[in-house]
Amino acid sequence: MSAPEIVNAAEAAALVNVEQGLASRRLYVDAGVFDLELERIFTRTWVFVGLESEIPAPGDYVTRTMGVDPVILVRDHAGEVRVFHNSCPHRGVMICQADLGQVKSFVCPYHGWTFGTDGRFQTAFHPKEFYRGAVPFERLGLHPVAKIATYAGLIFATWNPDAPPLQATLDDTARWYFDMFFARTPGGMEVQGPPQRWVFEHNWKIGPINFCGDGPHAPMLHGPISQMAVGESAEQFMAAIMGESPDVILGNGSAILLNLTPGERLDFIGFHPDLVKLYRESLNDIQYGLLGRMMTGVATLFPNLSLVQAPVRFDPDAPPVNFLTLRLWQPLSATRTEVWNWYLVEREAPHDWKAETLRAGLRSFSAGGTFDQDDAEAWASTSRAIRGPIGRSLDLNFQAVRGWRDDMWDDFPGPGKTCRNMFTECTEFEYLVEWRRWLAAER
Amino acid sequence: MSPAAGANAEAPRGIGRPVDDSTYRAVCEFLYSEAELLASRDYRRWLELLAPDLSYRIPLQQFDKRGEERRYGDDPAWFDETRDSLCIRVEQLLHPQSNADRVPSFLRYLVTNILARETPDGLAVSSQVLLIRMRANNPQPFLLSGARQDLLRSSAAGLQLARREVRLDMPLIDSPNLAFFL
Repeated sequence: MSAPEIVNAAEAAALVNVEQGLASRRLYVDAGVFDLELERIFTRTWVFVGLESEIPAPGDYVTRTMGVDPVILVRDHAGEVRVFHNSCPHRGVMICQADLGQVKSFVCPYHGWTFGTDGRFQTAFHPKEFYRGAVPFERLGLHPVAKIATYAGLIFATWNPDAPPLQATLDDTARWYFDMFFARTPGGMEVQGPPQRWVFEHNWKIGPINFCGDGPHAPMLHGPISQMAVGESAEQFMAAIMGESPDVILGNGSAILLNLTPGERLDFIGFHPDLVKLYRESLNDIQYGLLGRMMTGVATLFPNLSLVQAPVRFDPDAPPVNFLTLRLWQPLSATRTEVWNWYLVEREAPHDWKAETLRAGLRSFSAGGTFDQDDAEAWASTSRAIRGPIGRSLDLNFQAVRGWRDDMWDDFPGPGKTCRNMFTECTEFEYLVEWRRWLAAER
Repeated sequence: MSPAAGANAEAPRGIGRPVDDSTYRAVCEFLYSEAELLASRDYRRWLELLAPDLSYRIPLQQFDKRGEERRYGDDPAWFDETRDSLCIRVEQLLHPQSNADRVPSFLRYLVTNILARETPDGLAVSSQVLLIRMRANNPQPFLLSGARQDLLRSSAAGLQLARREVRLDMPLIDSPNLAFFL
């Protein structure tokens, strides 16, 4: 194997042709581009690391990765959330091997260097005197991230001390839409168990870009399962409502797709009636109205966090049930991605409903999920299709944007730049425009 | 969370009593014939082996609270199915436009270590399974191994599968999808 090509910022920027709506296929297969992404994006943006409900008690931790750097997300004994590089400051040995746990302190297995849940050095296996005062232990704590911030129980971290506050990325516009999923009841959402994890054989950006607003793939790729799990004429219905449903550009590369039933009626398909009453309390009229007409909600928060909500039915005698899944697309290499998939539910939901909504999610959006199975095959094939010199020399086509980007849905009642329908490809391409800014060091 | 650690399904130890030779033979026939149906993707005939009140689960491995032991959890699972939901999955996989296993995989199921006990609920059967999945365009086999714990019941049509739990050895799935059954 040849060494990965080194790609510089100017070369990376040239890979996205903003005017033409084209992007080089190297974005999906090139190891040099991947290395630059790790450095330019994953050490500098806000990255999702977990949920507060995963670490409810002091000493609770989970292990995660930011890009390919392993981190420990822990609630310290003062109750504060902290994120540290999962590696001993002495010789680099990994501190935590487990996915989760509950500790008094972190002990490195190599020389017993021990750290509090606040990251501070506490002691070593051998007396400190052996180090003859030459080691500045007071400064050798676990390496912390630069900043941590939360929104609606979701925890984000960044290595970048100069990163603007999370509210600048996840701004008023983004939160207006995300509140419909994460803050729609007074109690908020809780996580249902640990995440499922599985590995896709394709580039990490394909998922988030798809989840930015690719409605049109659904009636085609998911046609058969849609008929079975949504309804007989689901394909035609989906295609029709996509013509009148918005993709919204949230800014900063993030976007949301809202598949809405036509008309004014609020059917709240797949929602529990007791919870709908609580939505009324937590959401404004416009948000409540959109949720009441929502068939599918799909969104991406740049760079690698997505969500899906949809009503599905796997019991012919029961009405459809909505699930909400939160998905992290963890980069492994240019052509391998590990998916982390959590299911969320309202804290106030009845016990049986929590189980129903979890099963609806497992059966549709998961490694064994009937919808994901279709996507996985199509996406994995891109790696094989474009890895060669010819494939890499060609473009990914987003040229639909040229027909739509100057014709926005100006009187859509929600904030953000709203596309007139789901066929415009504008939200997906905006993700790449943002990607270009980060790689070109404009961010 | 299940009390037993490790990927081996609890052999039906301590419960029920060993079955006689003809019953053991019938259990083996059932599992081997089932493996043939799964390998040949003859899923509609496979559905006929499933009891109407079937519970079919493939749990996730989870760490215990202290992060020291791996166990098999309750929720979420890889699969948590009823007969109805499996029917939908089967129709999806067999649909001519389905993309989940396009140019269908070659599948091989090796089923071994079969133990059977008679219990008041039916036959408690444990077995171990190795799935080898070969995609059309990839010479690398995808392997998945695990331990099954089944409950088989006699019906007019012969033995039926009333409960299955498959405990996978793999903590995460190194494959884009699970477009098959275990």
